[in-house]
Amino acid sequence: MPGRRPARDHERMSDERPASPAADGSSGGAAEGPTAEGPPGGGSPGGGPYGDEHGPGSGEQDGPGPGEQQHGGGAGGPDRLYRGRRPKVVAGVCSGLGRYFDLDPVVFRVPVALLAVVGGLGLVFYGFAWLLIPAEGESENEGRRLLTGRGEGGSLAAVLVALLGCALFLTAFGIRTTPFALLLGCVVVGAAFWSRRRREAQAAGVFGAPVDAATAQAVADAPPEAHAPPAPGAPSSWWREPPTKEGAATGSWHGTGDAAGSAAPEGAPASGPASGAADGGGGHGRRRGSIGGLLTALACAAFLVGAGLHGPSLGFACALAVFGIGMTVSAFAGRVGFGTYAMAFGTAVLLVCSVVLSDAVQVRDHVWAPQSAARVRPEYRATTGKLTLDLSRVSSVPQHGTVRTRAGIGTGRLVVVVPRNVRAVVEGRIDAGDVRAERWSRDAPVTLGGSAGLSQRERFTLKPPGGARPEGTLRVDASARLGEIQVVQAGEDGPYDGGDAASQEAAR
Amino acid sequence: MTRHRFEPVRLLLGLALAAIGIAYAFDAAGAVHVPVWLLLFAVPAAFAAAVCTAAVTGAVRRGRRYLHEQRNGPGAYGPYGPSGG
Repeated sequence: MPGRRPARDHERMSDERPASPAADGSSGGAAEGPTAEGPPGGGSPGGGPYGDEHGPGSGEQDGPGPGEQQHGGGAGGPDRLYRGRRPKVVAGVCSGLGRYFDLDPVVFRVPVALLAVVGGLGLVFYGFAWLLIPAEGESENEGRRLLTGRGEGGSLAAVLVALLGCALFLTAFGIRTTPFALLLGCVVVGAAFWSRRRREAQAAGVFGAPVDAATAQAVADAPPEAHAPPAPGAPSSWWREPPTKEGAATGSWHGTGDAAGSAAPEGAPASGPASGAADGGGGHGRRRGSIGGLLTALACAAFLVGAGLHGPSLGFACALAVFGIGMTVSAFAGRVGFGTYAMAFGTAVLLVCSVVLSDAVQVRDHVWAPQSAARVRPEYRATTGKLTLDLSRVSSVPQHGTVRTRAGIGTGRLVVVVPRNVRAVVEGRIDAGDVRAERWSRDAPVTLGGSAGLSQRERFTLKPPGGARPEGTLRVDASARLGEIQVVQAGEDGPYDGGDAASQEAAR
Repeated sequence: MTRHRFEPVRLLLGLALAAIGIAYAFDAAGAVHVPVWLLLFAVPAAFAAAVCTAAVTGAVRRGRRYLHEQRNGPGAYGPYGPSGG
């Protein structure tokens, strides 16, 4: 079938971004447009370390779908988002973001680090950004490489970071840091887009013709940027222009007050058309009608709404429903790329995980309160939650006899209440957590001892208070994997209620 | 959004995922109870069905293109069907 291959190639080309050198060249040129008045494309002398690397590399960037969604929304960006190679700490995500949005990478690094520690969202973001944003000079992102079986150490590290972040996020979900994290994220995103808009405005010569009202507003409201102190001797970073070039107004948006005036006449004619061409070229090159970015944004919003209403399960379910509806629509109109399938799959996996986990972790209270020694079972068990073994009604152990029982819980709290008129020997073993014993009294419980840590083993012998003669012996083996073991000797003033009425009900 | 030819894979996968998502949204909200095994079965099944559909769709399209080219000569078959270009 000789005619088949050209047809398929044509299909590919029209479906994905045509790697036309003209579009990419102008895109590369506009990336440097603000920083240099040199010819578009190619390493211009004014571009600094960034321009030298970026110019040739961007020639055949045929970006995969997921990477595009990072900046696909209407910004019409002159350059693409890459993970930076030169100034990088971990994988260059913040460096690339800083370059893309024309901000100091520290603006991204600090919130990401903060959010990684508090709540784990920073790790989630960083891991996924690592996976989805291609490295500088690479045409594929790590996620695509991983899924096509060519993953390397970096891909695995990115997956690990993302997984760790998800785990942290899910465990810390109920904590009140989530609103703070969202707020901080919104602030950073807002600042980034403001900065980018501003740079675009300057590139287009906003002083002559404002691009749109919001951009003009952003430019007008901009405070005069304080110049960073020049680092003597050190080569200046890409975002920090050398002081001598500041007057020549290389278009980094520093210095509205003094430098901008001289910047406009030089910058406008050179970079204005370049930027316009880049916008046109970018629109051409980008997949027409791709709804992947829109879907992702909607799914994120659905997740946040659902998770806020009823926990992560509902959030993932809503996000999955959004992906499903969007995909159904795209069967007829609008395109979705590989990234959307991957994200829908990931959402489904997360939904499965969250539903399975929440089903396995059924936090329930188990209360047993045998009424006599004869009715004490040899063993009481529960997997999670709270297990209360109330033996305080076992008041008459046969003389010189011994009643033995065992109580065990996987994760949670184990409370063993022993009567006060027998000698109780309680052996508590816990893998991680604390074991303690107390004498119950409504007014002032007395702590009898305990310990906390890993692999704790404590043996408590609780005798009747006041030297009374014990009426038999009760032996309890209490064990827990993770949590807390509390041994309580019932007090004089009524039964132990543990601060709640749980032990009052259901005497089984 | 640009209209294009019908893509059965997206329709199938989209409907399946939307159904799963909506079912579990109701489940999480407590309105209905959906067993977990159904979810564990449905997600892989949806993706497997999508892969099968993709294979069938591809085979059908190849076959149609082949027949078309046999009749009208090579290159006459556009990327979006016999008439599309």
